[in-house]
Amino acid sequence: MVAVEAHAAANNVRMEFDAYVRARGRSLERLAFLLCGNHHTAEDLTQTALAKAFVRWRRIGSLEHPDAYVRQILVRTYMSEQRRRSAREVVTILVPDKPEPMADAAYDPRQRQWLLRLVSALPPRAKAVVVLRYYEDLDNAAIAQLLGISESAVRSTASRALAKLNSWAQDPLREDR
Amino acid sequence: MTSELERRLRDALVLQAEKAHHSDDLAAAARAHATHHSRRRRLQAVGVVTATAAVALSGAWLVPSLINGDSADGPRSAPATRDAPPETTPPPRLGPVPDALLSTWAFVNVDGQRDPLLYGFVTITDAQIRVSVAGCGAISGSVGGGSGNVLEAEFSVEVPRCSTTIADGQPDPPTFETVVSGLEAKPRFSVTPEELTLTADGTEVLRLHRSKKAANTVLHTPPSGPPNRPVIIPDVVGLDSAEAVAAILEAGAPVGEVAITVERGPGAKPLEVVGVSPAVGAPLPVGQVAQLFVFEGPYIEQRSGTN
Repeated sequence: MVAVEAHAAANNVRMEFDAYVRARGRSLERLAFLLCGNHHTAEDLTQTALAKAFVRWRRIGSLEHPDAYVRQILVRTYMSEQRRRSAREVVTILVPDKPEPMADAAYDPRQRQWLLRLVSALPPRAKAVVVLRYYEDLDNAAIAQLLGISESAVRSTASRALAKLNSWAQDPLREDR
Repeated sequence: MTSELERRLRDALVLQAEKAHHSDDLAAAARAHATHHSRRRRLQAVGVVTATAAVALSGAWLVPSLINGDSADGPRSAPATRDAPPETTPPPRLGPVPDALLSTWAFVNVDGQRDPLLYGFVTITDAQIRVSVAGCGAISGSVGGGSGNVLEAEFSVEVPRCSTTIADGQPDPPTFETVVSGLEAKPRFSVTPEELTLTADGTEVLRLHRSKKAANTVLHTPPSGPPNRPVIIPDVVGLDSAEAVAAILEAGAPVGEVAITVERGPGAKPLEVVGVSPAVGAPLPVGQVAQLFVFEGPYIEQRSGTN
């Protein structure tokens, strides 16, 4: 009898989890894609985050905003994996070649790709802050809670990230190459 | 300038996000991933075992006498152990585990489905258990000393996940950059002359049966006699057992065949060589015998009251 009840409870968890993923999975995949920069790593990251969420779904599913919790798992998993990988990544000071100036840079795909490549060159935390602020439209408080850091750290990280992007964008050396 | 940059950032990120690849069944994939993620957590959260690992196993632990035995008698065609029926002979004691005492082909089932990215070759030595998972990584741990007829070992299982990328129509080699942390279980690994089992939290997750045909182990020696120098093992995996024996003899090494049986069929053809010890490309030490592990078909367990 106990086994039957446990099985039914497990089925409920599974159905609730499936419903959540159907509703929010794509959004999580988009966020992972912006953080990782490629489809395969993004898919792995999303699965990892959801797998972690699944094993705790009894608790997460009962929260008022499970999405925030899962997003937090995803971003923190990303940060954690980036830390582990940092030892074997090749760090370069070179940023991608800047395309020729265009009349309407905002809608030029080359400019857009170039900007995204600059973003991808940011440190993991800075990249997470940029993506959460400009894609997810989260305020500093929400980002701070999600990343487990203070609001002032979010502000300073965002400020430094924008300054770095600005300096890369303005880098006169790029014009010579 | 910053506001212009921010506007461009927002536009770029939103447009880029639309290009994200969407998985067909993300929930199922995540659940399958969770089964790898932690056996312990899985058992608590789901309440059922959703992943099992099945490994094709050689009867190799019954042949240390063959491995270490006298192979300098010249050509022999009679079965080495045919005169010692396992039913009447006390099981051999396991002393110090020789290198590659257990060397077997392995794969993993998830939710009853074979995971094509998780398979490989298991080697258990006196120092470690290593599972070379095809292009994906390894499972390793330490093995304790033998005690009587049972060798028990504690080891950590870390199941890596692979990602395969397609470029210009060609698959890249699988990588394991996405190895997930926390995929550890501390199962109990028990080897007896009859079977090998792996349990975690009291739940059996893996069972391997010694081949019922292990008594048919045959020793082949090359016409020139046993080699007096190390011989490199040729690549014979996937060959028919007769072809494999011929290839190893041609290389100059004596070879013993060990039929293997698995509870769940690994997809190999009967009489196909699924493994060799030492590994392909490794040298066979002087005085030892290369072991071929030949798949003989799925093991059918006789249990009363089962389907």
